[in-house]
Amino acid sequence: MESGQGMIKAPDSSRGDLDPRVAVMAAPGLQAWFVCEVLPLEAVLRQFLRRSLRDRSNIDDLVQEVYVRVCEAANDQIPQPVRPFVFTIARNLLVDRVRREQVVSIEAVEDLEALNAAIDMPGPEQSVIAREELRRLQAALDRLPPRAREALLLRKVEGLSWREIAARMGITEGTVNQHLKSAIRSLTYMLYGEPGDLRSSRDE
Amino acid sequence: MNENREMESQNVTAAVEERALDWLLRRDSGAWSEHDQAELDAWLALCWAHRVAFWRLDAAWVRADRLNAMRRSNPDQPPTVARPSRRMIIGIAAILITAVIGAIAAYRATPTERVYATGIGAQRMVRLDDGSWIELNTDTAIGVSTSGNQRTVRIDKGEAYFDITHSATRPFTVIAGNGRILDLGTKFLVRRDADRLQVSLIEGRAQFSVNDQDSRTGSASLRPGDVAVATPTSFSVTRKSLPLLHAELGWRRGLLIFDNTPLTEVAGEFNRYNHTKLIVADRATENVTVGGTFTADDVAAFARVAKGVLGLRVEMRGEIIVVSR
Repeated sequence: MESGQGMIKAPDSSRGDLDPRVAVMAAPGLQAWFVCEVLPLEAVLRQFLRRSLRDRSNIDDLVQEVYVRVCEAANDQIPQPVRPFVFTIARNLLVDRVRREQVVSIEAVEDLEALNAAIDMPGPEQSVIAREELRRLQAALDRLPPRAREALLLRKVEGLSWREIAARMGITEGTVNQHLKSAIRSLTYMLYGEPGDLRSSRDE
Repeated sequence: MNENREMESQNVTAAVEERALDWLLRRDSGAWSEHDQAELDAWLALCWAHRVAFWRLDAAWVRADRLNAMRRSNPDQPPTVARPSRRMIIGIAAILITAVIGAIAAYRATPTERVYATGIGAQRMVRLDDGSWIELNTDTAIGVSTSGNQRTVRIDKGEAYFDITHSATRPFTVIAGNGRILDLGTKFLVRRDADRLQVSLIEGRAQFSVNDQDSRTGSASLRPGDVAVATPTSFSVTRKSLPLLHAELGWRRGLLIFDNTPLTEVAGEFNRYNHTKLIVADRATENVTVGGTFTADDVAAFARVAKGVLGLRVEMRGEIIVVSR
């Protein structure tokens, strides 16, 4: 496997919004790559964006935008290594914002080189092994609203159908839908958006 | 103006996520037809924002499946041990025979051997009482014995990842056919195919030795990155880069990761995980190589890639997918 340092390239950040009519098909394997290589960076990415932005209300929006640009670019060729690529895109996005609306603190953007160096070490996502994964899931689970947690466990662990879950919990299937929706939404944020207990897993 | 624009895009992001959640749940709710799938595909094809939102939620949803493994590997619950009563009879019989004939079957007296197995496409985690973990890959069977000062795992077939808590007073040994791996505080991967045994050392150190009845022996002290392969006629140790080793461990995340891998080998890998078998039909196709990351249990997706990207002919014949030029 080659490291291909020279292949890092960020797409032109001034590009306009994608016209849905000309959207291309996702390359095969892209989804798996995105899930395995890019999503685990979300916690650090959010941290970086939070540090750089005065107004933190639109971080979700920025994360989404970074993902879109990363995938667009990676669809032609998967970049190696991934981290500098993702953060270069994030920086370009912030530079855009600075030009447009002065919401970014420039120092934070300049800081990126240091951040890149710090985050290009063997990643926690590579050393997070099964038991940390379970610990992390368990921790996330514990923080779900009780009814949402119950519905999720009945679905994922007991393998019950929605109808069976509804019967077991004494609610309608529509409410099952609501509970599961809230469970997935929170779980996704807790698994990807928040820094996990990664240090301990690396020091073991 | 800017504010409006931002507020708008925020709403869009939230709305896209909401829509993606609706799709995910609708798919999970039970009645999911081909027509529904086509509708979802069409929605995903509209723009990248739809895709990344859906992929992200879907990834967490799939990760939650692991919760199931937690329950199954809970040591408080009886694993799939051969039925105790029968085992006990065998045990008593073994002890009697031992008493009469001698100490041939002494190891039989080991108080408990627990058997863990997975079917095709399944995976399973086993936690031992000492804090060690064993992860079983598809189509694997192992037996675990832990007595006072010995910890022994026998691999009958398949592949397992070991994360062993080292103890100087309780050595940990993995036995696979004629091969024997003595752990010296490690993470390692053992794969046993028909007559091939492969040990990949990820972390720490281990001693790997093979003793054949035909007096062919091999032995090596393994360090991180070492990959030892033993067959009836050979014994070799090569060194792999860590990224390559991690690619081999892709199955722990449900992935097959290929890099310039010959198509026949790719087919072999998919066939380990799926009941639907991939068959490479001709010589010309055998030389095709594949790179990329695939979901191990989605052989149909790979077939689409073979057709669409590699330009091969793909023919479905029931449980068989034939790939040819």
